[in-house]
Amino acid sequence: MATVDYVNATCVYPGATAPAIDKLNLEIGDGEFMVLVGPSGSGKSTALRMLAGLEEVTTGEIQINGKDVSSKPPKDRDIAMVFQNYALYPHMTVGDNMGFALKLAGVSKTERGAKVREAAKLLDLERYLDRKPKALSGGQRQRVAMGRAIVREPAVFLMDEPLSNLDAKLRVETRSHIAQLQARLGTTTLYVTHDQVEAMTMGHRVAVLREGGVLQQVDTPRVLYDRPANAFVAGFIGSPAMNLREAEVVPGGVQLGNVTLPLSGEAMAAVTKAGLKKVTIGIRPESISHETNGDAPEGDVTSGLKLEVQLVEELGADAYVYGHLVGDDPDDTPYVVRFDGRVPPRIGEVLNLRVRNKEEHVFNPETGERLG
Amino acid sequence: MTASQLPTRGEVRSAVTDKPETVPSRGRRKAVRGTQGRAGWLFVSPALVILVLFLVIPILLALYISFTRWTGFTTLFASNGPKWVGLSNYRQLLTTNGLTRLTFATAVRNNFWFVVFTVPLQTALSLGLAVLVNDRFLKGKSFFRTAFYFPSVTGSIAISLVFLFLFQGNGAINKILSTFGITGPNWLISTNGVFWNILSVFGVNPNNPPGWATHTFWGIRWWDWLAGPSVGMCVVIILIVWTTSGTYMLMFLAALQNVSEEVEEATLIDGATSWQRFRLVTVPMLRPTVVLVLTLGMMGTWQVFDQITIFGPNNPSIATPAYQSYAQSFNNFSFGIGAAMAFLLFLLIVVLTYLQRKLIPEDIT
Repeated sequence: MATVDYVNATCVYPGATAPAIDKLNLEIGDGEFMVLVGPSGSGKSTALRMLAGLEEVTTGEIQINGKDVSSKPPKDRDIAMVFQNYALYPHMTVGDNMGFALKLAGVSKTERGAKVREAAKLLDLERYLDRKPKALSGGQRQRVAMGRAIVREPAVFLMDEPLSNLDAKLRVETRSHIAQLQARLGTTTLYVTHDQVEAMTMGHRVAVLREGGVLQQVDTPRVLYDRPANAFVAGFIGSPAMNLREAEVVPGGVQLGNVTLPLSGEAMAAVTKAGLKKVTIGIRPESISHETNGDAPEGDVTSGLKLEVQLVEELGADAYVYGHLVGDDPDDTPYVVRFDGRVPPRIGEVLNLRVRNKEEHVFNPETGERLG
Repeated sequence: MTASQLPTRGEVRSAVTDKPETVPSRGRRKAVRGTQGRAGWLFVSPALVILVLFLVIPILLALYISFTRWTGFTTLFASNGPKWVGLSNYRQLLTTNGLTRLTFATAVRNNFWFVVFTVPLQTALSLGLAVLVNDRFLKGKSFFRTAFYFPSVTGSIAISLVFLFLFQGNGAINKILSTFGITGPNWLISTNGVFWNILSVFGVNPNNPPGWATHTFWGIRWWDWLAGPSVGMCVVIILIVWTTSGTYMLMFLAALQNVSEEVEEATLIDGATSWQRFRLVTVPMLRPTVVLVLTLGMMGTWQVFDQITIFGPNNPSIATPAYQSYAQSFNNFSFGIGAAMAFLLFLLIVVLTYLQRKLIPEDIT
């Protein structure tokens, strides 16, 4: 049982001028499943490796249970790590791989065997204990890597994109498996991924990083989705990504295509306060719906938006419709709208759309910060 | 018309049987393979001709010579040329008591000790050097890599001559030793086995062996078999270890760079000290390379020749079978004996390599 604290933790690689992780402040609660997510180059792996002791903490500190571990070697930090390529020892059997850390720690052979079997049972690996990693499938190797971490009963689990080498189906299965396992063991976990679906489905809380190792927002998946702190988080969380556009401020709202999209009072006040002439407006593909016969629910913004369809991606349950607003330049980045998969529109069709009430996001176009 | 243009049997048949082109008949498929096969042989033929001419034929001729008596002064196929003597040469080398057998057996003994010391030492040293220059935090890596590899690319004769000067009776080594008040041995000429020298420190007289050790094997007393390498041979061992470890270091270096960084980091997380990591993870993962280096090392060290020629022509305490094979042929003009020695050495290397590969399997997974 442990808590982890990054306190102004910074990592500058030798020879680099810009930090890979810049003054990271992050608290991970006891038993929490924290996911670090961000695009490549955002330093998420670096942040994890700093906690592991594989990268130096240049300034600031990292605490486990309130004690600074920044200068301790990995073995003295009471952590276990699952690597992206699993990093199994190819010359050892599955059992030896899982028990290696205990062997180094001087745990007796019988006790070691018992712990390895217990973990193997948990991961359905009992049959493979005498095999070498080469004789296992990708999914089994992944479970051995998990087993190697579990056997040690560490204070913190560190996982560095452990699912990225699995095929799509197995990834979804293993995703829920890991989340269940973590809930059962109750071990504090830091999990790194570039996949926002993994982040949203697995994490109790998710920390979003962006290029340059700057932390953007830490919150529950729900809040990240509903109230992204800035335009970057808004664009990163959610699939397909949120439609983000610069729009001119007009009396009562913003100009979108050839109509005015009214803004909430809160957003309008913030815009006025900042004295902005333009804002970044964000609308999720699932916040836009097709208007048929004017049956808009009470309070929805029936804005009279018209979208000319340029491309339709059918996914079965859903259809993603790409197109431009009538009144906009057709060469602009197209808007994405999530549609009912059963009634996809045709290319070239002009659709009447409405934006669901209070589901628009407004950001400062210069700082990217949320206005409402 | 070249071979590839010639109509083959299958092509002719398919033209006659008038089958539709879209379904290749069995004969046609065979024909394609036949033409391709012939073209293939055509392409490898230059290399093949050279191999047969300069490798296979000389080996077969040498095998023939080993069953004859021949001075080398006559042509091979003249009437006064090599005289067939059957297994006589092999008998002289293996069973008939005499100077020929004694020389050869002594050479094998010398070489045995040479291999026993050189192979493990060069393997350990080259692995050590490779680990050293593979260190992420080492500065001036490429300087050290070049420095360690340098002896391997320098001519063996040149290096042997330098060592000859160093280890001569009044050479640099003895000069340095004398400043510390030590009288160095006459390195290259000293014929005593080093184990004898060590025993004599403890008061055992090497010239008065215990009774059991006076029995002979292959014409040599057990006492002599167990004498260890002569002091002169030790110099050769140092020289060879120094020159070859650069090459083997490169092999280990290549293998080390194949060990994934993640695995190394996993050992750090698992709590291994650097010695534990080296012993329990790095070395086992390098096993294929270790086996390769041991095999190459053993093959090479059983054939040591250049250095022996420079250090001690006619010095029986460092002579090796390869050297004796040469000496018998070109100094004593007994080409039959020389060739027979070469084939016995060949057999010995084959058997030892086979045993070694049986004992240390290559695969780690």
